[in-house]
Amino acid sequence: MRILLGLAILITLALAASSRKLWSLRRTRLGTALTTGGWLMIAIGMMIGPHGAELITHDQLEVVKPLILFCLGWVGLMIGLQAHRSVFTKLPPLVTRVALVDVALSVLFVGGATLAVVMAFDQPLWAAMPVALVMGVCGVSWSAEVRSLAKSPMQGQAVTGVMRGASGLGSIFAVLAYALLVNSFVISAYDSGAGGALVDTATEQAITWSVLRMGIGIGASLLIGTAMGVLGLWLSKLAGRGEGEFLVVLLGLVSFTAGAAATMGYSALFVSMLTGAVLVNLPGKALDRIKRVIIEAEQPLAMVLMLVAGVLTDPAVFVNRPKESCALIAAVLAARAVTKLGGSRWQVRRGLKIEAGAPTPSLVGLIRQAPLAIALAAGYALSQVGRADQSALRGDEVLMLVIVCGLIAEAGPFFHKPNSPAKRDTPPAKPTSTPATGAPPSTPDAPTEPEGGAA
Amino acid sequence: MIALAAGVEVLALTGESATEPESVRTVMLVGLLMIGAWLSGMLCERIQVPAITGYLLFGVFVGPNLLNLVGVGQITPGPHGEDPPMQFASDLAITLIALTAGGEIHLNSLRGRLGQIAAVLAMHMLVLMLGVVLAVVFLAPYVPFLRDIGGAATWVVAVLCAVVMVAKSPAVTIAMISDYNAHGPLSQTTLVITVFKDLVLIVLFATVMAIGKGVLDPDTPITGTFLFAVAFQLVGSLLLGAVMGLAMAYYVEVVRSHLSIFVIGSCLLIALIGEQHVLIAGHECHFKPLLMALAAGLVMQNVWPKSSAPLFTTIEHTSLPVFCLFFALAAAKIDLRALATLWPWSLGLVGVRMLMTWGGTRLGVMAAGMRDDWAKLLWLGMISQAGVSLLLVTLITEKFEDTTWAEPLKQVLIGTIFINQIIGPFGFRHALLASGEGRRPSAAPRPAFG
Repeated sequence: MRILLGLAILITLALAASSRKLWSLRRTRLGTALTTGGWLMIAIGMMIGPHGAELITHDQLEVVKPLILFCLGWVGLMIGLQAHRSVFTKLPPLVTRVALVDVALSVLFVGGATLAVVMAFDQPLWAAMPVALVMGVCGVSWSAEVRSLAKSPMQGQAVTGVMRGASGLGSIFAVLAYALLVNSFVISAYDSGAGGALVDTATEQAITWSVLRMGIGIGASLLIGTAMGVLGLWLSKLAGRGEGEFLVVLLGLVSFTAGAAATMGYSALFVSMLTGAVLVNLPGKALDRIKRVIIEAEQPLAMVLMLVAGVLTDPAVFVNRPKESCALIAAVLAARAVTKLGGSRWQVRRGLKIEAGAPTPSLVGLIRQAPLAIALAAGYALSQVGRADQSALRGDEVLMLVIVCGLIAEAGPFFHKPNSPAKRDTPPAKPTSTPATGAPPSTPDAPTEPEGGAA
Repeated sequence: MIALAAGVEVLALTGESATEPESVRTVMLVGLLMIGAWLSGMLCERIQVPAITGYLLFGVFVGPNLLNLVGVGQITPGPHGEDPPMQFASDLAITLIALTAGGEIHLNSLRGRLGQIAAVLAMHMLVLMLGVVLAVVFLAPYVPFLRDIGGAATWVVAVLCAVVMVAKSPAVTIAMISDYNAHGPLSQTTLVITVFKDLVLIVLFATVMAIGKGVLDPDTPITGTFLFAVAFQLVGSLLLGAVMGLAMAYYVEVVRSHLSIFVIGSCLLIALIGEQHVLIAGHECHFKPLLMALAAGLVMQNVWPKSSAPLFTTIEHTSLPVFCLFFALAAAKIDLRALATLWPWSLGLVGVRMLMTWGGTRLGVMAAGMRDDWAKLLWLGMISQAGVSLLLVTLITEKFEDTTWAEPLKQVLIGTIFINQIIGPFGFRHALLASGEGRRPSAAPRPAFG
């Protein structure tokens, strides 16, 4: 069975990419951006996928989906573990404000731009809405990786601190917004030849908005997330010191949570995030161990996720819908520039009381897409609404566009020339973010404090 | 968790939107089986019953026979022969068990004792196999599913039964020695015999399977080239496994990171190689994942022991979730209705196996010139069956799935293994305590698999 070959390749590549021997790649700015952003893995995924060497064919994608779901569950749990209550009380108000405003502006501007472009190509509103919303949510936040931006670490500490903190919070808000999105749409199957009656074998589908479905979805997600969080803590205590037992609990918890969410048609990322948030806010020593194992496996799992996202993506969208795709990418990038370089950059400069005209080269990094966007788009590609035939763009096409937008945005800082470039005077710190979440490497007990006294 | 899973199923069925594919449900069920089986195992341990029994009971409970949370679609091949969604658990378990067994063979420690061990092993296996073969052939006319299958098929079934009955669980042996903190010649000899028996058994099983298929399938008659192809499969599997073992040890030496994922990736790769067909002397052959993994483990342990040590620790940790899943799934596949009618045959097979184990081991101890008191105790360590036996049964069913006897035979054999799983650890515990090598476990939590 070729799927096993695919899986073996995926895992081997993920290992190779995350092994210590290859860390030397990250010593350059380009290497850092490529590896921590997961771009290399995405490229390899595309090469071995159905649109490349076909080591994994279209028929076999169904078998790869459980792996993606598991990775999404892991990422969700990791983001949730950042959501300790103290984060919201101890973080400077500026960070929270920047993150919240960014979510609102991104959904509004990036989503609005997408909606305008898609509808301009004769797509009905309800078919365009999910695509617009998912592009908006994918536009939230930015990469928390600041190492490749650090031309002058001394100068950029306060700025990058706020960037990292807001990026981490933004990830939480983005997953929340995404859950509202995927829980809100109903895909109904209609037989157009039978007066629109609901039938088992559909010939047409309709996408409609349903507040009831959204309510039930969020309610059920909360129930499962909370229950699994409480259960997870109890199980972790029960596992004691045994490594094998602990692995059973962790793997079982992630699988069950992500799988349950996806079986009901809800967001695996969101439900797992809730589980992580419940876990981190309950008292217990077992939590430290969960965090350690989760963070240890973060890098390879993120790499697997990026690889599989590459496999899942559909580059044919540029052949089938060239004008629409290019227009959409241009619109998203423009809206992103307005939102980040206008809104967020202005907020940070104002909040940190940076004098007018003073250079803040790191802030150009706000334009870069959060790696979480690819996880969100991959989740969307698996969701019911992403698979619906009547959607303006299929999930795998959306994923391709998100990847291209992210890649172009990633290149932005490399072409940016600051007014007074300072030489790198100290060796850069270890990479600070991870491809999948872009979350800051904070622990809930010691929440991220923007360096240099951002407050 | 069961209530949650049931609730999820109900919500998914009554939801307004389209239903999700089966592969999505698999993710949830993997979590349910893993945690549920583990918890059941812990409960069983509290009442002095081996954890593995708990895994099996949980599988039966959530399987198609009772709750039907793990449905038939998850565990049986699709209409066009597609692998079931949960197949990966079996693939992983096969290679993990064989890797562990290979890693338990320390060639250095065997020097000087090889003759004694070989004598016990040979007598034990010979008597046991002979007894089971004769019992099956003699009773076949009275067994409903064997009555009309013909003479050649009866002999094939008898030999396959004998091979499965020879199998003994190294995992249970290791776990019991660890639980009872046993140190001494009896426990070590039992362990060495168990592991060596596994090595011989896997080679024997591969040979019997290939020849059995040749006997029953007119498309693959037994000729000189056929036997050459079988030999090539066996030797090729061992050599390929040895190369893989070296490669794995090299990885640990050079990279030494993310070993859990590396182990899982390697096991999948071994399973993949096992599925590739090679044409040898006009016969379609494929390498045996069991043999490859066993050889890989043996080479790692004996050629590059220091480098491989972290890998074996990782395998030990990774094994528990895979075993929980594997055993629960294996039990979910048991057809309780069929078992309800076939249980007398399972019980009969247990009786024959115990009798022959006792006789064969006693003869072996005498032939090897071992201590007399061991004749009373050593056989008690040879009763328990678990992972390897279930694996063999699964492989037999897959290989002979187009026959009428494969499915009922599976039920009988699984029933036999089930009983041996329960009584086996009690017997070995008695042997360890009676020999003075073992002590009763403390109240501290104990590992399920050593």
